[in-house]
Amino acid sequence: MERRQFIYGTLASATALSLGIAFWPEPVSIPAPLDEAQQWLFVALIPVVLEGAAPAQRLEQQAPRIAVAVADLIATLPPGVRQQLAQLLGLLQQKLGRLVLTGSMLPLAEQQPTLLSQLLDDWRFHFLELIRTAYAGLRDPIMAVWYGDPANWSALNYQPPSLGGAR
Amino acid sequence: MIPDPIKAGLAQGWQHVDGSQLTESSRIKADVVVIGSGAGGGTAAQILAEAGLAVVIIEAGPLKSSSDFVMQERVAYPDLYQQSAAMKTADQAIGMLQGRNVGGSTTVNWTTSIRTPRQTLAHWAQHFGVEQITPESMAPWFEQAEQALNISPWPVPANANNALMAQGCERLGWDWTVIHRNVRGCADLGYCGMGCPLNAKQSMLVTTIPAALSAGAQLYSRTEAWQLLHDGERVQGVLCHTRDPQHQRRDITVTVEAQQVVLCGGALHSPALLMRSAAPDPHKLLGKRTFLHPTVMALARFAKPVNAHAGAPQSVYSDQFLWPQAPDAMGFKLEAAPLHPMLLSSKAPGFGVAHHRMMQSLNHLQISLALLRDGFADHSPGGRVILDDFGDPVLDYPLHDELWQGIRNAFLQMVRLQFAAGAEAVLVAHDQELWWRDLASAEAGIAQMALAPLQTTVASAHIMGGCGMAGSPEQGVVDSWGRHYQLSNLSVFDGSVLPTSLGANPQLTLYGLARRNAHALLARWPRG
Repeated sequence: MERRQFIYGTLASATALSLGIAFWPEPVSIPAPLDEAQQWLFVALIPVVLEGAAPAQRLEQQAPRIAVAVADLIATLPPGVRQQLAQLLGLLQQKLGRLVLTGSMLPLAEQQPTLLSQLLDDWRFHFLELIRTAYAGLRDPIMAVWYGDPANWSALNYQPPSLGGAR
Repeated sequence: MIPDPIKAGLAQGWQHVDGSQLTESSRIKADVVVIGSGAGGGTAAQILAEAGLAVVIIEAGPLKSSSDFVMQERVAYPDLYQQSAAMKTADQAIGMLQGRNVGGSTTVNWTTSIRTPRQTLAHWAQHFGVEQITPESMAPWFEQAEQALNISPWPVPANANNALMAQGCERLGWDWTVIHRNVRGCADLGYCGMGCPLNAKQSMLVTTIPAALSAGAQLYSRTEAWQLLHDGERVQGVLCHTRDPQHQRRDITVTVEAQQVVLCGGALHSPALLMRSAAPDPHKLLGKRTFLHPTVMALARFAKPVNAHAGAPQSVYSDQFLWPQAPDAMGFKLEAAPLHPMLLSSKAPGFGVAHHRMMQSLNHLQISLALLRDGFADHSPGGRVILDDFGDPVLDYPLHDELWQGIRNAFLQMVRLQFAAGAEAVLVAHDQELWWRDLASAEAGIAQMALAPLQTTVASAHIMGGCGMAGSPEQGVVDSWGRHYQLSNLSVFDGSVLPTSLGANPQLTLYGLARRNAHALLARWPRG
């Protein structure tokens, strides 16, 4: 993917300046899509979120590919949304943040699947909205990537109509 | 072979610039710059271009057409929707679906076409001084739009998803109505939300935009209006940033100088553009009173297949609860929705084995939606558009107590409807993930359910307000003709002008208002 730093300084055209317009906003750097450690976080969660959708071994094998698709999806989002997600994932990568969010110092990617499942369940009913946000932010893109893939539709008996030779 | 009218038009010489392909910044001139190409922008562009004005249309999204519409969510959502259909409010509690492509939301909506409810117009007249917009004064504009876009009652038997809703209403003695749709030659496929592969849907993409381009308008796609260049009284031009194919901003700009600006960016992006531009806002109204139809859903499992992905997505609705007699009660409209795997899986609660079991029953699921009519009471101020660190709009939309009461009532009525239609079991979209097998259990469960943000699934495909119209500048950003109260050559013709939510799907309201206001703009245009 092509990444660009959006340089707000280019907004300062002479015409606009002569009109006395206040420019919005100040220069800010755009967070990159998922780094390798963050992708591995998704890799750990994918077999838990999708448990039952396919045999466990197949889910584990496909998890790295699904995580790449999640990263691709995130790359299409506006910078502010990516920044929010980056902050959440950063928190999960820091020991203290992990302790607060998960009750454990162990990296999520090293947790047992049964513990991860319990953790996600705790998060979705948590009294803090921030933690329920984390649950949705991790769960939703995994669901979208898996169920958006035609290779997984036969289990649902779902098939779009064929337009045949019409296209 | 299905003809692609966009490819054919481009081959014949329509003027289209894909902003992502530009290699250097440029300046252009026009009589009118139309920002946005959805219901408002498409309508205005055709009327103004056919009147002989030099029109430039600026659209942040890409130009996609029927050849690109492959009936797959994973292709359609990144191509055609804001934030790949994953857009949410500031606290992440409400999902929002909004188009971002040439044609805007009309390319991806479900074709439901409803005139503005009489009660809504009466409310605007009473509370916002919008007295010239009445059912009678709007009738000719609605008739024109209905004729141009072939809007008529859907003559084909409803698919099972909608038919079950009608059956439930019949058995309960509730009101229900056959929906009017903007289609021509519709094959009843059910993939309207991913772009019509047959060009049957009479969206702006295949009607007004081609007409405008044939009349000489210029279209810039993947080009985002970023800032109005103004002196506090008039707008001299619009500074636009091009976007790359991943929808990220580039530093290559297009500056459009025009005598008149018609802003149709929708209820998030129109106020955001005015905010970024430091547009005059003496009464601090900009971005305020932004409304959704907060929408909740109930799933019902039936013994026989429903196949809610097939057939016209919406063909009946019920207004049984839209205008409750209690003045402060939250009214809601009942509609069906298409069920496709990607959207259902991410909106339905839960994960793991139970979630997948629900997904496996996809073809036996009926879905009912309740669209809450927000913004009509003193305690319903709606949401507020703010700008994030990058200048993009974020909608802060607190869910207040009256909305939660309305949601609980909506859940109750939807499961009553579904059991009356013969459902085996029902589930309301809430993280408790409880399937109820009889009405008494469902009613008891819903009555004690702890409804909360991020546990109860709330979504909306309709975003309204933020540049509200009113009879005076103290109450509105624009007047009832869409004219900005402070910037004399700026008009707003999109959903951002609506003073409240509508209580109906918005597209026909926007077609009617844009027609009326574009013709009024032409009547004011200096003859020379």
